Amino acid sequence: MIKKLLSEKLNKKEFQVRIDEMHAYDIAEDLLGLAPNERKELYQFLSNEQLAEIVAYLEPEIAAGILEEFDVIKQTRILDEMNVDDSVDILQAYEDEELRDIIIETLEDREDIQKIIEYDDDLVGAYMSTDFVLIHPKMDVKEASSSLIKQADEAESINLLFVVDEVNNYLGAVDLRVLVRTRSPKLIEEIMIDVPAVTDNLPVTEAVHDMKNYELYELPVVNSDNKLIGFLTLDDIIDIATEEAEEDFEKLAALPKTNRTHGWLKTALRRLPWLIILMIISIPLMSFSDLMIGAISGVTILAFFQPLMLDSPGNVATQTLAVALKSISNEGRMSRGEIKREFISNLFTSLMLGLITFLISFVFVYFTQLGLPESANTFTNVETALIFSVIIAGSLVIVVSVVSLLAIAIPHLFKSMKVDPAVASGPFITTIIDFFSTLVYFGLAALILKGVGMI
Amino acid sequence: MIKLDFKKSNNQLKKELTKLQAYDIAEIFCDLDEKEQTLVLDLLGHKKSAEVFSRLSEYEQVEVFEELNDNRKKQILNNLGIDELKEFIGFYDKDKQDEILKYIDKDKANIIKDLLIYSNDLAPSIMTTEYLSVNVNSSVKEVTSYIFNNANDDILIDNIYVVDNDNKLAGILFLKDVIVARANDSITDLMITDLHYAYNDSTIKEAIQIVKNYDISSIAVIDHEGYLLGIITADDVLEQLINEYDELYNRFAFLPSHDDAYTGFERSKKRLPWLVIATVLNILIAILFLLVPAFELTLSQVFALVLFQPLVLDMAGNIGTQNLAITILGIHKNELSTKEDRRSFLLKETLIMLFNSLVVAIFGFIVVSIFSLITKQTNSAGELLAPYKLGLVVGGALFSGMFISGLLGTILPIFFTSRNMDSDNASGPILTTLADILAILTYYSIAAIMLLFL
Repeated sequence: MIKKLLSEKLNKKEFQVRIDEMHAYDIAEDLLGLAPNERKELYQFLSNEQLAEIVAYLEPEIAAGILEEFDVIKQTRILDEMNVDDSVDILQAYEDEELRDIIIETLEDREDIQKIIEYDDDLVGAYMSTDFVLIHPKMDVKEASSSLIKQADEAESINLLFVVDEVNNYLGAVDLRVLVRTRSPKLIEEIMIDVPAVTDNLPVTEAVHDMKNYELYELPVVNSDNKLIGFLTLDDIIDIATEEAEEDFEKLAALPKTNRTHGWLKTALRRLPWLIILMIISIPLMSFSDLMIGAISGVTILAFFQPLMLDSPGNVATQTLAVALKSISNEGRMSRGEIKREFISNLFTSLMLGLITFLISFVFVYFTQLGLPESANTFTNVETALIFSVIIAGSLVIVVSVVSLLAIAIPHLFKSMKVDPAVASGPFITTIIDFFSTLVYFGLAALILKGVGMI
Repeated sequence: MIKLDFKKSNNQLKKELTKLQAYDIAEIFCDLDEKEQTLVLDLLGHKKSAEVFSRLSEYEQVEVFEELNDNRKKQILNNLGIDELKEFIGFYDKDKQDEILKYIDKDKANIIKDLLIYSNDLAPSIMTTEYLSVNVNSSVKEVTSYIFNNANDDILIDNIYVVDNDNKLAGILFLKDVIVARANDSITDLMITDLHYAYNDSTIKEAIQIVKNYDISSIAVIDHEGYLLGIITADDVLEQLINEYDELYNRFAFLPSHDDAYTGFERSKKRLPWLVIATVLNILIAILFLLVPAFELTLSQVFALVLFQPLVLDMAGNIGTQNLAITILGIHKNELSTKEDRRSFLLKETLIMLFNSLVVAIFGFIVVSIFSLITKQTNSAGELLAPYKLGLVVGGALFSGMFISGLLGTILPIFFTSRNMDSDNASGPILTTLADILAILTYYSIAAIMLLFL
């Protein structure tokens, strides 16, 4: 689009008219495909306001890179045209921190920006906008309407008008729909409603849930003294929700945050640490198995059934883990009822899987007598079939029914140790469970085989 | 979580309830007994009762609805927004839908009937027909008074849609611009003509993407002739977005959808099929290996192979899981829709897998060699095994097992999607089991060659 427009050699005015018809998001998408000289040509046609709008649609890192191509004064001008939350995002991505601080000093909204830039990027405060419409409880609706008309142009979103007292304490909000259909005389406090506010230093994920559950377009942000300091807009929350959901998903698979722009080697190196860690935690498992297998050495049937003993509990644990992580991220912890439901579910699952395993392995051993120790000759076919299917199915039942406790306890343990519970990814849990299943499986085997005198 | 004190007088309780958000009441509503529920609905009034009802989850809505008397059913249904009403009725099958539609005012019922035609994954299934629209020739004054007269609580007033004389979508007005406009400004100057809309045959995913990209409060849904059918609002998009990711997450862990609604027993029943398939497959693998004499012989001679079995299996599973997640996410975000995209994605992932499998394999070789050196692993005849031999077997199996499993994790979901099969659902369990078979097969094959024949 832009390429075509540039090739038409329009004059500035014609170009402006055409570009005005396009949405800033589309221009931003096109911008990245342009050659440096084409980009320069485009910039000449654009006002600071247009540039600000376009740049705000880019990823902050890319936006910062583009801004840094301009001279400092132009950067300031463009940033001044932006909403505070957008300019903060971009300023945070500046590589040259000294330059950033100089620019912030010269911006119109420097106080707001300095305040917001200090928040950690997982807190509500880091995402808030400060361009809202403020009214007071004792205003008449007519007065409020004219106040709205004055403030509307600067405001980012006006579905809710926030009500504060003289010292900026947050009181509630007025729905614009109610305001426009209310006839004067009526005071704002009479049509004001309770809209729950979030505190600036809460995790932003909580704001996502509030916004979804209360079906709001704007969510007020207060500080710990209940002073209104900003608000979150639905479009920002939609972006945050997407990012959070992707992160949850990636963590379950022990993946680092994906970035499509990275090359293959960089991506490979970023994924490697988890793989190496998972490998390292399996080293003790080798020594552990080494201790366990002494007694049952040579009983190959047990070895060949080990993958089953690792795989099935792993699958079940991953499911319970996913449920546990979701509960932790939504409610802080898993409820007692939820734990009970998971436990019962896995108990039943273990019995079913155990039954199936028992039947198949019984039939198999009865007819083939393969992979058994030599001393098995002294037993009848039914006896050996019974012994081995009890070992295999029994261990499976024990392991599967208990793994849910591990898959629930580990993320909670991490959380109480202030480690991100999602570190307990599916692969991590699976590796931990391997220890347990090796212990139960080989332990039970040694116990039973010794008991019947087969080894 | 809030608590309601039913010992208080009705008046006090009513006061408390009006202060609460509909969602918070909905959260505790199903924990109340029938008498308390009736009282709460009485005190809330029609409008807010409907609001609370709309915040209940699917199965709670159905459960609560069944217990209401006819009068109350009517009140609640008729006070729901069109999109909420449509969603609720959509939970039922055809016969039951007609029965429920009888409770609803005729006009509304007809709109709902029209909406119910659209399939569940298409944009119109989440649209509402309650929106503001004005004719392109109206004056600012007319538009303003139209807004004032129609600004009810179910309607989004941020965006006012402009239609031409044929009722085709012509533009959109932002309330902000209308508020600051002068009475004699023309609508054509105020309205934005660079429109973003979904067609009646666009998917929900596409509609979500548009709202997300353009940071707008709503988008129009039009047919291919340009007639405005309804709008999709951003608050519904947020809800839809979170639901879709929840579903993706659940599918990845092969949990059935709506899992949280089930009791322990039901959960197990729903989750069992894939677990049973995976378990049976694993048993069959074990049997297969016992039946192949070369594998049995190798293992009985070098029982130490058991020690490294979990490592080989796990690492293959881990890289497969990583790649499966990456691919499913890519498909979900529509990043793999063209052949070109898929090719470059596959190339990049293949390089990553080659590299990571190689690094882990070398690392595994070193670890296992040192391990066997220290623990002095022997064969069944009591002869000391050369440590590097075990190292090579494990390293080789790690490399091939991980590479194949990673490749499967990438290719399976792409394959299922291009065949229009429900990719995320099937690939998880199939992948882990397939990866296991292949990893263990390469492990014993390499071991047989290395330890028996060399």
